[in-house]
Amino acid sequence: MRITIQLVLGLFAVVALIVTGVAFYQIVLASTIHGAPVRFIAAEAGPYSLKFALYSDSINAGEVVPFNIAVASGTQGPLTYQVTASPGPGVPGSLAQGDVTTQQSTPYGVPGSITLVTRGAWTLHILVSGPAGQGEADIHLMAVAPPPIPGWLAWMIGLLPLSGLLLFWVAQSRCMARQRRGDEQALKIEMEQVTKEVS
Amino acid sequence: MAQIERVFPQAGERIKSIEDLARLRLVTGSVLLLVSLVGVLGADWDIQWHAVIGRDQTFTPPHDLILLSIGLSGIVALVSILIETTWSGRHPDLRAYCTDFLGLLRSSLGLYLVGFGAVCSAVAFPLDTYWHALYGIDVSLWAPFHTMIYMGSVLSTFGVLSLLFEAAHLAKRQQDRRTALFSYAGLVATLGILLSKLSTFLTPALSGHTLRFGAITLNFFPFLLALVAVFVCVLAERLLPWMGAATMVVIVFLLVLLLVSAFVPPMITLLVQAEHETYLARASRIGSTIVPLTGQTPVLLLLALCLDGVVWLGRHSQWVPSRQTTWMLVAALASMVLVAGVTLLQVGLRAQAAQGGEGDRVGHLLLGFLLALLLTVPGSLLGQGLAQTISWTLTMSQTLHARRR
Repeated sequence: MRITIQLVLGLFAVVALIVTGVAFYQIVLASTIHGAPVRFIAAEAGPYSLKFALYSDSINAGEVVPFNIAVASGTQGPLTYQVTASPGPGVPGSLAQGDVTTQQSTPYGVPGSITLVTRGAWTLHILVSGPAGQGEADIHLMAVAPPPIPGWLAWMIGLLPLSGLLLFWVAQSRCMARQRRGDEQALKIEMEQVTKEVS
Repeated sequence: MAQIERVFPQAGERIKSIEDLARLRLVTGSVLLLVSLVGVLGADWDIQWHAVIGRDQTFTPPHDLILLSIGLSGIVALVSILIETTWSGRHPDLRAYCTDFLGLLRSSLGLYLVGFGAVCSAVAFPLDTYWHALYGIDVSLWAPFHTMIYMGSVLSTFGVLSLLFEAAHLAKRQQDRRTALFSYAGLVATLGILLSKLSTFLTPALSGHTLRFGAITLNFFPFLLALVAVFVCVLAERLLPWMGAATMVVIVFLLVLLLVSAFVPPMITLLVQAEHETYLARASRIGSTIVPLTGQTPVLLLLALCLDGVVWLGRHSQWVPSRQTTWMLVAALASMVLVAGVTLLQVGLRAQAAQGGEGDRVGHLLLGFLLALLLTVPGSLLGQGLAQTISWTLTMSQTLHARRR
């Protein structure tokens, strides 16, 4: 029984660590390892014509979303970008800051990333500054999330450490009680033997 | 003669190995204690970050600090387990002080608990991202996967507690007073951090979560605080051989709160400027959310002093353990009724001032007394029970090993 519990715990630890590793890969590393963009959105930011490239058709809420921003050819001088995303009406989120690496350049423009924390409609604000002045563009995006799990199941998973501790405690307490009973029994037998010897 | 020579080095080696084992556990426990403190700082920073900035990505600086704490505690525990497994492989006598896991690993039970807690917290992190993706940034601290992260860290703290207790026990047996002293000091610090973790987890009760009895609305916070404070203080009295154990734990708790209060607000201001973050419209002030907890410290000190007084009397008058247990329960009840009463009076007065109405202050107090009484009993019993289990597990594994031999 004890070995079975240990085996279950060992398996839980291994599986849990693999799942966690995969999840972290999805959240972070998947955004840096990708192929070519699959979705292009054209936008006008004042004097600049932008082409916004996304690497996936769907945007998963909570994951880092990689993108590229390209400006129409012929634009002179260095450009700086500031990307933020604000949640749409009814979306319980806060302003998200994006990272744009202007030092790097790809065939699809400068790379960047942003995280849309919650599912729903978001507006991406792109602020471009350059020799021709400043320009702003808004791009509407929709973040999706996997289907929700039932609340009771979430709580059952959430309370796993506490249940583990309680189970351990109950098992130890039962063991302790059994041991105490055994000790009392042994003492009783010993007393009986001593009484017999004396008599 | 040759036989004696052969026996003596072995005996000497054995004693040295047990001392080494105690020291290893003390060092591991101390490192885990520091890692746990990093986690406490990260958790409170994160609570405050959520309140004033929101959750704009998975890897925010407070999240990084929490993840660092989870990762380090798992790695430190694993390394220590592997060292103990190697040592007990070389010195079979050490196996009496280790718990076997699947016949592959042999180590302290506390380290397994630390590992299990770290795994639970690590798994909960991506699940929490999923939960936020579904329900947004306004998820309470009492959400399923926040609870899992938090309880995983509490479980790790119980592991550190058990580990340091084992170190102290082993050192005491080998008459290594210095290691025993540091191990007990580590236990005091761990219990202070445990109280800090548990009480921070209660902060949602300060706002929003209330009990309604007809016209009277009661705040959960004082009762839950009564439960955790009595639990930790009784655990301290049972695990530590020192006089004033509970008071020392409450002082450490206060120091942790001060450290957090000194760390969190400046870090938020600094990072908001560095990362060009914007404050949420609802964020009216920056301040640690657990600062209100410091307000409870005088009453917690009262509880600790009452329990310490009972223990002192018990030891002075050589009471039997059952009598000491009963009087500790009485002292806990008396002081926690006062704690709940004072806190409820404050809450009632604040609510009255906010609503401008009369409110039922007497009703608040009476119910407060009743509920504090109800929760102090399980708190005290849980503390006694856990301490008993930790002590028993420690002595039992050694006895069983001796019997097998």
